[in-house]
Amino acid sequence: MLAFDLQPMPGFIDSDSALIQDCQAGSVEAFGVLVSRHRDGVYNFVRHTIGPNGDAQDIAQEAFVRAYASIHRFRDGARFEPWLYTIAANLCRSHLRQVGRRRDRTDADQNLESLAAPPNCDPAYVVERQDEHRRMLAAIQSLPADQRMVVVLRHLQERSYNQIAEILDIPVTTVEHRLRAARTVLWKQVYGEMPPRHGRGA
Amino acid sequence: MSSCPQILARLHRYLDGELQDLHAHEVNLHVAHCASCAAELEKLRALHRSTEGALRNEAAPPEFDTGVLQAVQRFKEGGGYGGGPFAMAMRRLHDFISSIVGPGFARPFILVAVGCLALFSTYGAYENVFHRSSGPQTVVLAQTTLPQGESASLRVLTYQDAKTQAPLPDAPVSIQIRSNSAGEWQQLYKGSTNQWGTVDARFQVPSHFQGDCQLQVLTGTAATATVLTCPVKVMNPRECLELNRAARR
Repeated sequence: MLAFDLQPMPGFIDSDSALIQDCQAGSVEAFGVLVSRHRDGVYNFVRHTIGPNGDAQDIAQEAFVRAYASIHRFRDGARFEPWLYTIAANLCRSHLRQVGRRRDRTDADQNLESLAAPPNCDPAYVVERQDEHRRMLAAIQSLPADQRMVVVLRHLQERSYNQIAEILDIPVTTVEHRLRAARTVLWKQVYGEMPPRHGRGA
Repeated sequence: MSSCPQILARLHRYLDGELQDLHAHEVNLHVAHCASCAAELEKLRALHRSTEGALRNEAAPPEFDTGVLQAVQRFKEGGGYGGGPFAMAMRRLHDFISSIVGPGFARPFILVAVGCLALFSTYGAYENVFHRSSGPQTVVLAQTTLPQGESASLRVLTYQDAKTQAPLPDAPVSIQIRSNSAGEWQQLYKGSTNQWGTVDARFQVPSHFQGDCQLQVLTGTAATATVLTCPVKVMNPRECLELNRAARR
C-alpha cells in the first residue's frame, strides 16, 4: 500500500500504473492521487472542447468517475492518461451531439463576423491586436468538434500526432488532416484572408 | 535540396515538431535562402502562436477532487462491483420482467426465453452472440460458416450501457480472424458504428484460411473496449451455401 501521509521524493513518484494497481485493489486514496495529477489537464481539454456554455466541470468529473468504474478492466501495461482522455473525449462528443441541435449556430457565425478582421489586413499587424486571442478562441469554437479536439490537444496540451491519434483512436494521418483543415479555417476567420500556400502533407 | 512546394508542405509538421531531424534541417536550410518560404513560415508561426495564446489553461475548480471522490465512494458503496457486471445486468433484467409479467413469473419467463434463444442459436444458420458488461454492450449477428475467398458480412449492434440500451454511435469496430487458437490475427474490417450504434460489416474472407477459425469483433475505444470471440468455420463457398440452405429448411 502507498503511504499517503508522505510526500513522494522526486524520482520516486508513484507511476500511474502503480496507482492503478492500488485502485484495482480497492483504494480510493490511490485514485485521489490520479485525480489530482490529471484533473487540470482533463478539465481544460473538456472546457475548450465543449466551449464556454458547457459544464466542463461536470463532464471532466464524470470522465474520472467512469474511469474508476471500469478500472478493473484496465489492462496491465496500458497507459492511464490516454485512456482517461479517450473517456473524456467520448463524453465531450456525446455532450456536443446532445447540445448540437439546440445550439444557435447563427449566433456563433454573427459573433465571428463582427469580430473578423477587415479584408486584406496585414497579418503582422493583426497579430498585435489585443482582441486577436478572443477572435481566435471564437474561431476555435466554431470548428467542428473533431477538429477542435485535435487543435486543443495539439496547442493546449502540446501532444504529438501519435498521442492525439491514440487518444482519439484515429490514424495519425487523420490527425494531420484535421489539424490542417482546422488551421485553414482559423486563418480565414482570424486574419480574414486566404491562408498561406502550405501544401498538402509530405 | 528540396523544392519550395516540398518545403511548404512540411511547414506545419515542422512547427509541430513532427519532422525528423533531417527534414527539419532541410527546412532550416531552405528558409535561410528562400525569402518566400521564410515569409510563409513566419505567417504559420504566427497562427500557431495565436492558437496557443487563445487556449489558456486554468486550474480546475477547488471542489473538483472532492466531487469526483464522493461520486467514486458512492459508486463503491452502491455495490459497483458487487456480484459482478453480469449479475447486475441479470438483476436489472429480472426487475424489468417482473414489472411486466408479475414478480412470481419473472424467473420461469427468463428460463423459457433463454431456452428458446439457445434452441434458435443451435439450429439457426445465424448465431446470436451476447455479451454483457457493466458498461457498453455489444451484440454480434454473424454467420458461423464463412465462404473461403468470398465476401461475408455480419452485423454489430452496440449499446452505451446495458441499463439504458442507448445506442453507441461512432464506436470503432474492427473484425479479425485467425486459424483456430493459433497464428496471427488478420484484420478483415475496420469501421465505426452509425448513429444508431450499428454497423453492417462486409469483408472478404481470405482464401488461405480453411476449417476451424476464430473470428474476433472488437468494439469501442481503449476506454470502452469489448472483445467478442466466436468460433467460425471457413468452408468452400459451395459447401457453405448448401449448409446454409439445409439449415434454413
